[in-house]
Amino acid sequence: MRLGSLLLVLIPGIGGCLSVNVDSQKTGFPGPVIESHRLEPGKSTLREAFALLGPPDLILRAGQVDRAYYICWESDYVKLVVSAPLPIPSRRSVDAFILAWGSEELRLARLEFDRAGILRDLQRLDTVISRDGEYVAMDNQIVENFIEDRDRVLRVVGNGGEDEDEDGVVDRTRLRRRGIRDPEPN
Amino acid sequence: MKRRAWAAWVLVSLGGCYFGKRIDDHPFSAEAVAKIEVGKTTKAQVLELLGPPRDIIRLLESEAYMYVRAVEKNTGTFLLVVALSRADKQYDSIAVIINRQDVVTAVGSRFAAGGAEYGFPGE
Repeated sequence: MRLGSLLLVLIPGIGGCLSVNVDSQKTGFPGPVIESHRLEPGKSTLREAFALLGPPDLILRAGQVDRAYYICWESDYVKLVVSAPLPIPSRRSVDAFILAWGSEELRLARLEFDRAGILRDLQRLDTVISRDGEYVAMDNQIVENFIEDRDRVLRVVGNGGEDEDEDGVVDRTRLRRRGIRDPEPN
Repeated sequence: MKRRAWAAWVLVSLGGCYFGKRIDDHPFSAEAVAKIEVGKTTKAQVLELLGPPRDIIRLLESEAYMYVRAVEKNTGTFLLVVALSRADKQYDSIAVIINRQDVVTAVGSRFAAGGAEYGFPGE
């Protein structure tokens, strides 16, 4: 009876502050990134690229080129979350501690076209970040910030921080929709 | 009384499950996209066929008219202290490149929003 009473009180209590989260997220379609190898810099055109790969996830003018991105992202995580059962006003997250392991896979293709619409540069990124077997202890807010910052860096990888054209016009709408913050003014 | 207490505890502890679907913007017509011909179709015709784009992006010698529709399907379940969740977000999107003469120079479309699926993590 004592054990039953103890469980009756204890387990729902634990359920409020301790949880194991198995989480999968998938965004986009990997096909365009995989197929992008068929394009030939110096020969292929923007028209051919669109016909082969479909519409890009992001396109913008960057200096003397037009830049198009194709992105696909998948993640699988198992997290042990210890969180405060009561919200604390000064914190944005009540999650106090996390042990996580899993993997993320990002596929990205970056195409650059000149004024004539000829493909001048093609770069592909196929990254798997794995934490299999590794235990990572960190604050949930740090995890969120890390993911946001990494997304921003990876999605604009190699562009030298230029998400703006030569007139300084930033494609803010697209960036925001992709969860990318506006660049900080220098 | 004891059984009722246990039954209540089990119900509270088991939690539940959810299915969620989030649709962003209205569907596009593949037939309308098929009517767009590179080198022939004009900007006015594109607007007539597809309506106003979500974004107009200025490029070096042209403009990109971007049409995007997202469908996100979420699945989750809670079992005591274990939570399983999965999110799958896919897009229907159309990009139309229009030159300074207001003529279409490139068009690309993908209709993958229907491919978003419910499921368990890892699927």
